[in-house]
Amino acid sequence: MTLNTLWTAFLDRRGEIWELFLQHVDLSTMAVLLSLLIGVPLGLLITKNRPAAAAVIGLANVLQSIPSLALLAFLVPFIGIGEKPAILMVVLYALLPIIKNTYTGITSIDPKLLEAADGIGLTRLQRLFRVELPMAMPFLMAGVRISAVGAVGTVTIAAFAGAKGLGWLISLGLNGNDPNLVLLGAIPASILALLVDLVLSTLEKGVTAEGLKSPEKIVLRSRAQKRRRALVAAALCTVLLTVPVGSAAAGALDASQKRITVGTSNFTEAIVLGYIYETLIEENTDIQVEERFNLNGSPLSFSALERGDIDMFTDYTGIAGPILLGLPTETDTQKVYDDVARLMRDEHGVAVSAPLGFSNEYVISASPEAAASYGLDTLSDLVDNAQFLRFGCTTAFTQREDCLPKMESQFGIHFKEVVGLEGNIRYQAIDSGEVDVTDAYSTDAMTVKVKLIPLTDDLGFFPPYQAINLARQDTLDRYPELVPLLARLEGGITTEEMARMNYEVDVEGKNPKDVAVAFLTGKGLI
Amino acid sequence: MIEFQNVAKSYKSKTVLKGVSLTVQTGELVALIGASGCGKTTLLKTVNRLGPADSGEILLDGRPVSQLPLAALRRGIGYVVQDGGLFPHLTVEENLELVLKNAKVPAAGRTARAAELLQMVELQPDEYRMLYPCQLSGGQRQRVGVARAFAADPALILMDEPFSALDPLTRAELQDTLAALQRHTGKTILFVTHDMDEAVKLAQRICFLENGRVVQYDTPENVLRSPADGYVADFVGKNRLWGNPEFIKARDIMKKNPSRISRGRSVLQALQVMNHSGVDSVLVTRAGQLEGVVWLADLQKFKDYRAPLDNFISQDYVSVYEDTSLQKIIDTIDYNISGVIPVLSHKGELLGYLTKSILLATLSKQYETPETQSERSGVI
Repeated sequence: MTLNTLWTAFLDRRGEIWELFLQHVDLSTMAVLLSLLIGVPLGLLITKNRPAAAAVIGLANVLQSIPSLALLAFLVPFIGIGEKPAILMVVLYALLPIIKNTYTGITSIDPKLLEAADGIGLTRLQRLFRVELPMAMPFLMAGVRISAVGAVGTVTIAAFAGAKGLGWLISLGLNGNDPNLVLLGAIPASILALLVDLVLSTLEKGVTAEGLKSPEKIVLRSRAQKRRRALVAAALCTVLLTVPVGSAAAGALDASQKRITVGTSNFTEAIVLGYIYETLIEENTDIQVEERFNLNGSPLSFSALERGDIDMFTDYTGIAGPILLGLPTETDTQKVYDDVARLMRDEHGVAVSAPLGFSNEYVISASPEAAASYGLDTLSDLVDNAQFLRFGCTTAFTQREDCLPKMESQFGIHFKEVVGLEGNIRYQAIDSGEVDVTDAYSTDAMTVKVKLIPLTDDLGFFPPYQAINLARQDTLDRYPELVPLLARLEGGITTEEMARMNYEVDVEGKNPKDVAVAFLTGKGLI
Repeated sequence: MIEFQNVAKSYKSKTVLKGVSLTVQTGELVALIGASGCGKTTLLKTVNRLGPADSGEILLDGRPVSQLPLAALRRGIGYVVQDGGLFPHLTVEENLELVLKNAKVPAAGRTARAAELLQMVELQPDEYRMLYPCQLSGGQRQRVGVARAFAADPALILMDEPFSALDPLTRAELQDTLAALQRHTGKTILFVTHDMDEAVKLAQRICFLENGRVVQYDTPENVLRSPADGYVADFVGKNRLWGNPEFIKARDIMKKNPSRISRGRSVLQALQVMNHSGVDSVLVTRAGQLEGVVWLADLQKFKDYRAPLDNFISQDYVSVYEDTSLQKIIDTIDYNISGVIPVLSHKGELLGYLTKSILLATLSKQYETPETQSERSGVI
């Protein structure tokens, strides 16, 4: 990676980055705004009750200490995926500084002054708005600033629950092992954080009454000047608020339109497929497609589908059966498909498409060096030589009952070392000789790039992983025109085609959407 | 007029006010004074209900404060606390306007009224109205605090140790300003202080509180002159009266039984009287009434001792009435005056006399401590 390639990648994606940047601003502002709406009244309320204050601030402290990814994972089953859990998560983080600073700001006012305020006959509300809030304003604004800068950071995590924003690029880059993409998400996010800090610190200075500054810093202004400044501050706030409120309103207006939501898991193939479905639908119908891409794994996507947060996503029979439906592991391709389709239809109201054509099975692959040294050709060879081999595989492979645990119990396989590695990092590890064997996928682009030796499954160990599309039946009922349209992809993508598309994205660095469009165009589907 | 009727209040288990009854006349400045914890501030706050009374009632011009709407009650009462209680985020002008706005003074009139208020407390409006409290000295802040209390033109003003945080010089200046303001506006003012000098200087009446009870409520003069009990006496201090010459009357310090002689006597007899008493003058009386003074200096030049005194009776003297204050005597007598100052009743009867040395001795008493008094008897 050089600066040059980063720059090229930036130019390629600048439109997308700008859009994600705006979405990021949008999410952050919305979250901070909600935190203000909750945090300020809460902060004010607890000034009247010390034990309550200790409890509330303590709780906010605890929330703050939960890792954001864990909090997100915890929230998704309750409130689904997309912007909602993302905003809620950011709000939970943004609350603490706002509550704390409101509380501190109010309680640090000299009680004598409050007595004076009461004494001159101010009502409770007048006291709050004319004395307490203006005096607490510097604290409050500092809290907002901490919250907002933090929110910009936390929103990047939101990509893992399907919300967009700059985290989307980071997550894409991590999945695709593309440091350029990570940087294209991370750099604008950092710039945004600095920008937010700058804007809010200016606003903070602006709304802090001159009289609260140290005497040598006070600028005396006439009434007209003060009014003008107040106007500018109000305008600035209005602009800051217009973005999220406006987009929320636009979203609400849009709700009358025909729309469906396509979801995907967080790996290249799923995302390419997502774009294929999205483009296919948008080009052939008047239905608007919303993206909920990059969801953190199949179970999350499935729960989103069941909740109606998304209307469809692609998966594999070998995952849908054992993982989503809890079926025993089978190796009979047809039986697995039939069981999945039947249970999905009967028990979950989900329509399963005919297989899309390609399979994305586990193919245990060895580095050419290891294959040569130990004569690895089949899974049986692997079992025999495992004690000499270092196995670098996804953590999912080490955890799933039908993967490594089953290998160990069934064949007594025992590797010299097992390293849990995510995504494409496995290929780097095997390429650089740090591990000898990995759990590759049949359509994986990197197997082509790093020239791994696939080991034939002569033991019939792995279940079939036929690609299928899962769609909510009620969505198909609402938009019956989708049924024949979606059917055109059934059996329409070969394993080679899929591997090729993955390669274009992961290795050649093409935009997944462009790859999807090119595929559909080539097939005459759009 | 404020009437406290059997006002009681306690905090938790501690009874702070034990049935206080007190009447403050309209236009009067009453100082509430006592040791800390005596309940003086607590009593003050029962009026504007910052700390409402548990029992008893406070009537403002006949209306019980407990029946008045809180905000309206407070808007009708000026309130000054220590250090002014100005809002730091507002300018001097905005601090005043906050009260004016609340008192429904139309926006157009507020600026002018604020300027007027600043002038009232001897601050130049153009110089101070734009400043923030942190840019003012303590005395200036308190002046604005006082101005704010007067802003809505309330009938009653409560002051809670307003000047106690100021240095003595500034305090004296502010006391002068307040005294002038009160004379000028005729506001009823209830003033909490722990400073006896301040109370004597400002108040028309002083109310002594001890452990939540009124122990003495009287004019400063009477409080100084006759403290109700040891507590008040201790508070007043032995020498306090002597520091306040306006409360000391001629009769308090005059020497009785002046050397006197009647008109018909001779020069020799007059000289004998003077010689006997060791004085340089003798007062001529008839039936108790003063007729004049015979000065030793006039007689010494004259050698005919048997001559009648008639020709030597001088009208060149200063006399004072028995209730003339020491202050006034000092202010009016000539510094060059020497000799006797007769003290008369309003009917012209001779009661006693003063001399310059008696005046000096009296004035020096305020600086005396018991130690200096005992030293006097030693060999210096």
